[in-house]
Amino acid sequence: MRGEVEIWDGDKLLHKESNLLVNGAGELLADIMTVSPSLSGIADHATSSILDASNYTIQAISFGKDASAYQYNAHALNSRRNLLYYSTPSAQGDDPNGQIYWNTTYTEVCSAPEILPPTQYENVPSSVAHALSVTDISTSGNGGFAFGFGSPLGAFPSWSTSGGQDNWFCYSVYIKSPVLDEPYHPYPYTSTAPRNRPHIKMQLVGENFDNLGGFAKSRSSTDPYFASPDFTTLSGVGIGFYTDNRGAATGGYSIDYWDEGSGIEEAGNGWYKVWTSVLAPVSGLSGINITISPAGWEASPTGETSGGIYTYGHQLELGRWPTSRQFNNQGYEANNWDLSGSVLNRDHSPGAVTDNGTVRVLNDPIPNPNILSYTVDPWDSPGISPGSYTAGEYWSANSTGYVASFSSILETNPFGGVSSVELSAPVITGGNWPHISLKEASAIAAAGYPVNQSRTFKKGYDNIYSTYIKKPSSNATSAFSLALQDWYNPDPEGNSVVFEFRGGGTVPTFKSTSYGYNSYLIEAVGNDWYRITLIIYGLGSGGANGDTVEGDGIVPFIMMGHHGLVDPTGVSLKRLWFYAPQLEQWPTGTKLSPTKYREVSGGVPTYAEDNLLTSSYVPTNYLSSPPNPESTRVEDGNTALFDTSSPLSGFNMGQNLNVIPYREQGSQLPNFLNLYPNDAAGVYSSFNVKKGQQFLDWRTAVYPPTIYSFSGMGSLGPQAYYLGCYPEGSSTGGSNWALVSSLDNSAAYLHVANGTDPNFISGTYNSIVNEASSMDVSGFVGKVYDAKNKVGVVSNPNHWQYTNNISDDPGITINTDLAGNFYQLATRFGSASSVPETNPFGGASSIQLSATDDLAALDYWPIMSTPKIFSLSSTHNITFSVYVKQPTGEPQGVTRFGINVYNVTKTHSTTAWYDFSGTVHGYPANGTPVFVSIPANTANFVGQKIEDAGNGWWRMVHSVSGIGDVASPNQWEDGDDIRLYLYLSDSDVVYTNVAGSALLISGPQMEQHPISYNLSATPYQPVAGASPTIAEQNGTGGLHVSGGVDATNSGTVEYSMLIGSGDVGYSNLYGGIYNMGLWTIDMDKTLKAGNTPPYSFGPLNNPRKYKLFSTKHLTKNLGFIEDSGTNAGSLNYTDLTIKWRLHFL
Amino acid sequence: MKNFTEELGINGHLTIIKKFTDGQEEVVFDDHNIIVSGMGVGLTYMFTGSGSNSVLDYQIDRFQIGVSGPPTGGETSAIYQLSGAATLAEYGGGSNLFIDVKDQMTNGTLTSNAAALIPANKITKISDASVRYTLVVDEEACNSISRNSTDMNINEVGLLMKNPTGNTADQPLLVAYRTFSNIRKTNDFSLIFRWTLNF
Repeated sequence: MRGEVEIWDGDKLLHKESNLLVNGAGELLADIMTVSPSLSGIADHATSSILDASNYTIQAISFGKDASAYQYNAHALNSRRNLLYYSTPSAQGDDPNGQIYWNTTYTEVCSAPEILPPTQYENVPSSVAHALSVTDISTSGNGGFAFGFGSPLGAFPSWSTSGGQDNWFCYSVYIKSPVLDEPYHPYPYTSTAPRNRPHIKMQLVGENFDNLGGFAKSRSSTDPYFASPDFTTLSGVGIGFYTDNRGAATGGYSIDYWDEGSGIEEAGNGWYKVWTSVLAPVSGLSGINITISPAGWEASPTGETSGGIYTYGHQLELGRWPTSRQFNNQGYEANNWDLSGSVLNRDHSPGAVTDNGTVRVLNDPIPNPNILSYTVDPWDSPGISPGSYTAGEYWSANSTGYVASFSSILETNPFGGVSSVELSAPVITGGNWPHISLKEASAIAAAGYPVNQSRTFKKGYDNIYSTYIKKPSSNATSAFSLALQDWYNPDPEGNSVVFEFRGGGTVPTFKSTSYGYNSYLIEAVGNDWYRITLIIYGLGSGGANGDTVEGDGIVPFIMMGHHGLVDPTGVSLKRLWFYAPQLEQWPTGTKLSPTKYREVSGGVPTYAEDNLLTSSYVPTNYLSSPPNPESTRVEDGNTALFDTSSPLSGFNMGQNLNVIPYREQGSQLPNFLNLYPNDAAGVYSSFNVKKGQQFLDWRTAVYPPTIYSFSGMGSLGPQAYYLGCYPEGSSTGGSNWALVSSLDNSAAYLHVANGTDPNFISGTYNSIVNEASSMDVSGFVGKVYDAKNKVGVVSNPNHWQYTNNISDDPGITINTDLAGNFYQLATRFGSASSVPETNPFGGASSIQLSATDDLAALDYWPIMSTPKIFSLSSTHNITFSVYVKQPTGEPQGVTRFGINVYNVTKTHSTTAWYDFSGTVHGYPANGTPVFVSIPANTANFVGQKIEDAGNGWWRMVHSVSGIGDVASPNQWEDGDDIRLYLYLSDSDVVYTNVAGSALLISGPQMEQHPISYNLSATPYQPVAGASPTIAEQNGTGGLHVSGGVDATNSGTVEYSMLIGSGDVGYSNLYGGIYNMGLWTIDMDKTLKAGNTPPYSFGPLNNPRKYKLFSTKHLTKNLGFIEDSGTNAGSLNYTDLTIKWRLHFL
Repeated sequence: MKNFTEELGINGHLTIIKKFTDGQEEVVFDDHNIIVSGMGVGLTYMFTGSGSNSVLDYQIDRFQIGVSGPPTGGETSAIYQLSGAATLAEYGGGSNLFIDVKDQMTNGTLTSNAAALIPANKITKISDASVRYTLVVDEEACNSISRNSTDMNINEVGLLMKNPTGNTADQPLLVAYRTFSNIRKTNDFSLIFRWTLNF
C-alpha cells in the first residue's frame, strides 16, 4: 500500500517516511471478501454485528521499541553488581573499616589460595580472588562468619535506608567441603548432627526494626547437606524461610506474600554455588546481615559441631538469583545508584515528598571535548575586574595601548539562554585590534591555576575552534576574525580567518585569510546567530612551512577588525557578540565540523560537564513487529520463564516488559540443583529433579500453588514496578536533571540543584493514551475510533465548561450563590448539584436541578443559562444538547421543561417546550419527553430531536441553523450574542407548580459547526474544567480517521493520533519508540476466542484479537530530545501528532 | 508512486475455460487481470468509515460480461466500466444466472447496468490472502449476442464490488477487469471464468 507516516510537533514536520505493508493487509482483504453473506439472515445482534464494516478496518495503533532497549534505560540495573566491598574477605583487616562489616564468632578465616577455584574461575589469579577457609573452631558455640550492613548489625553503608528498600537481595557464595585437617566434627555426637549442613543465612530488616515487631524482617537460609562419611558431596538441600513479620499488613512489603529464593548448583572442582535471596521491605532497609555457619547452626545442644568449609567469591547483589562473579578488591563502597540501577527507589520517609524514582543515565559518559576554560562567561575568569582590568588568569582583553572589554549581556544566546558575551572596544588610537584571547595553557599553569588540557598543537590531531557570533544591533564591527595562534617560537603563526558582515548585513561571510592551509565553516543557527568555525589540520603551518611544531601552545582569539583591512582606530567603540567558544582536538579525519557545544564553566570541566550522560544508540535488534494491542506484554511469541529462544527470555510470565529491569542471567536459565528436596527426615533421598521447568513442575506438585508459592523463583521482582525511567536518546538538562516517574505517579520531576540533593519541582506529565498509565500494556495502545461517530480529527466540540458537575463552576456556591462563571441559575432555583443518579454514560452521578420551595420567588420558570456569550454565524449552526431525565422519587420531577438558544442581541427566543408524557405533577414519574411547541417564527431554522439514551434518559437536541428568517425587528444577524437556556416548567403552565420539583440533566454540550457539515449534535464530550484537557480535546486519545473519496481526499485515508508530551517522555524512559503498527481486528481469532461482537475496547481486558496491517520502523527514536543549553530536554517534551496516510488511489 | 493495489501487490489471474456438454474442457485464456481504481475507491469508503456499514457491501458479488473490449484507451487501472456490458436480455432468459440490474458507479456518475451475481459457494478463500471466484456462464447464457444486426463476441469481463457507498439500492463498482480474445458463445458450451485475486 502506498502510505506514509508523518510526525508533527505542532505545525513542524519532524519526520516523513513511507510505511510498510505486511501480510495482514492482504489477509484482511481476503477475509472481507469471504465473509459469509448468510450471516445477514441471522437475527441475533452478535451475529449481525460480525458484518459490521468497522470490524474490518484499522482499529488500533501501537508503538514499540527496539528490543535492545530492554537492556538499557529504565530496564537496566547498574553494572556494579557485587555490593560487597571485598569479595574475598581473606582477612578481617582487609575491610576498609576493619571488622565493622565482616566479623567472626568461634570461627577462623584464612586464605587458601592453594585450593583450585570453581571451574569457571580456574584462571582467575589468586590476587583477584581466592578461596578462604572458614572454620568453626568451637563445639560449644555456633561458629559464624558474618557480614553486616547497616543498623543494628553493622556500620552504615554508603547508601541510605531508602536505597535498598523494596529490592530483592541475593547473597551467593561458592563453598567446598571439607577444609583439609578441619573436617566436620560433631561433638558430642547427637541425633541432630548426623550430617554436615553448613548454614548460609541472610537477614534484612526494615527501618527501625527492633525485634519486637516494628517494620518487616526478611530471613532466609540455604543449607547444603554434605553426605557422610567424607562430607564432600551434596545429598540434599534445606531451605529455611522465616516468617518474621513479613506480611504486608505489618511489615510493608510491595507484595502481600512472597517467598524466598534459594538454590545450589554444581560449580566443578568440588565446589557448589549456594545462594539465598529475600525481598527487602518497602519501609526502608536499615540492615543486611549475612552469616555463614560452616559447621551448621545447632540450637540444642548449642554449637556442638565444628569443622570448616572453603568459600569463594562472596557476592551480594540485587535480584533473585546470582549472576556471574564480580570480584571487588578495591574497597569500592556501593552507593544508592548501585542499589537502584537506573532509578533511586521511592522515598518512604513519612511526611516527605514521595519520590517515585530518581533516574540517572547508565550509558558511558561522554567526555567534554571542549578544551577551553570559562566558556560560559569569560568574566568568571579569575583576575578580571570588570570595567577596569581585563587581563584575567584565563581570558584576557588587554591590548597594547588600550583595554577592550567583554561582558555578559542580556542578549538571548543561540541556545535560548538569556545572556551572551559582548566584546567591545574603547576609543582606539593605535595599537592592536580589540580582542579576547585565552592564555596559553602553560602560562595558566605557571600562575597556579588548573588547566583544561594542554592546548598544544599535536601531530595527527585536527583543531576545531568554534564560537557563535551575532552582529550587534548597533555599533557593530564590520569584520572579525577567529584565530588559533601559535604564539611562540620557533616562529609564531597567526592562523586567523577573517569574516565580515558584508554590505552591512547581519550574515557573516568569509573575507580572507593568510593561512590557506586552514579551513572554516559558517552555520546559521537562527535568530541571526552563526556558528563560526576555524579548523587547523594537524600542525597547520607545520605542514606548510614548519613553523608550528608538536607541542606549540595554542592561543585562541576572537578579534574585531583585522590587520591589513582597516586601521584599528576604525573599530573604536565597536561591538561584537559571541557565545560558547569551543576548541576541540580530534584525530585527523575523524571530525569535519565542531561537535555540539559543551560548556566549561570554570577552569576545568566539572564532573558533570565532563561526563555528559546521554545515550543514543542505533537500534540493532528490532522486534519482529510492533506490540500487539491485545497483548499485555510487548513481545509476541513465547517468552516463557525458562525459554531461552527469545532475547527477552527469563522474564516472568505476565510481567509487563516495559517496566521490568534487565538483568544479566548468564545462560538466562535460573539453575537449581538436581537434587532435592529438604530432607528433614534425615533420609538421603534424591528425587533427581531436573533443572528448570521440571523443577518448577515438581515444586508445584509437592507444594500446591498458593498466592505466594513462586514469588521468589525466577521472576525479577516487584521492584520492577517501581523502577522508573530514563529517557533514552534524550538528556536531562546537563547531567543534573533527573526525571521522576513510575506507573503509579508520573507527575513530578526532580532537579538536583547541587548535584547531590534532590529538590522537587513541579511538572505536568500529560498522558492521553489511556487512563491507566502510559505504557501499562503493550506500549501505547490507541483507543479505537468509532467509524460512525468520529470521522476526522475531531477536537472537543463542546464549548461549555464544567460539564461534569455544575457545582464545580468556581463561581457557584451551593445553597448560597448559583450565579456562576459558566452556569447561571436564577433565584428560582433551589440547588444544582451532583447526585448519585446513574448518568446516561453509566457514570455514578448526574446533575439535579431543583426549583426553589419559595413560592414567592417563582414569578417565572427557574432558568439555567450560560453567562458565556456565543456569536451567531450565518454559515454555522448552533446546537444545544443535553440529557434529561425525570426523577422517579423525591424530589418530584417537573412535568415540562424548555430548551432555548436565545438571541440576546435581538431578545428573541427559540424555546422548545417538552412535556413528560403520562405524568402528572406531584407524582413519581419516569416520563417520556414529548415535543410541545416552539415559537412559530423560528420553526424554519430551529430543529429538535429527542434521542432515547436508555434508563429513562433522553438526549434533547436543539439546533439553530444560521441566522434564520425571522422578520424585522427581530431579524437575526451575524455576530448576534447567543446564550443557552434551560427551563424547569410545568405542563399546567403554573409557575408555582414547579416548587421543589426537579429535573436530572447530564452532558450539556454546545457546539457550532458549518452548516455544510450537516452536523448537529455530535457525541457528548465532557469538559471537566474551564477548558478541555488534552485527553478531552482528543476524545479518549486514540486513533482518528479522516479522508474519503472526493476531490479533496482522492482516496486517501488518514489516521491520526496525538501522543501526549508525557507519553513521549514516558516512552523514552523505557527505550523510546522505534516502531509503529496499524492493526485491524482479526475476526477469525477473536471469534474463536469466544468473543462475539460488538467489541468494546478495553486496555486491560480487551476482547479483540488483532491483525497487523501496516508497520513503520524508525531508525531514530521518535521521542528523541536534547537539552537546549541549560533547558532540560526532559522538560521540553511536546505533544506529537502521528499522521499515517494510506493512499488507495 | 505506487497506489494501494500496486503497493499491496493486489493482482489477479484469470483462466477462461470452455466446457462442452460432453465434458471436454478447453482453456481459451490464461493470463493476469487488471485491478482497476474502483478497488481503491471501494476500500477507501470502507477504511474511512464513510461508506456502507456492512462488510458484505464491500464484497465482490457480481460480474459482468462484455462484448466491446478492449477499451479504447487500453486496459488500464482507470477503467470503470466495461466497454460493452451485456444487457439483461443478452445474458439470456434460460440461463441459471441471476441477473441484477443496478445503477453502477461509473466515474462520478451512475449507469444502469446488468451484472450476474456470483453465488456464495463460488467464492473460495484458497489461501490466507487469495480468493478465487468461479464464474459460470452456462450453456444458455450470453449466446449469439448481436447488436444492430451484428454478431457480437464476448471479449471482456469484470468483477464488481456490491455497494460500497451503502446506498439503499445497491450501486456496484467495477474493481477488476480483463479483455480476451473473441469468444462466440453458443449453447454448445459453457464458459468458466476461474478468477483468482491475490491480496
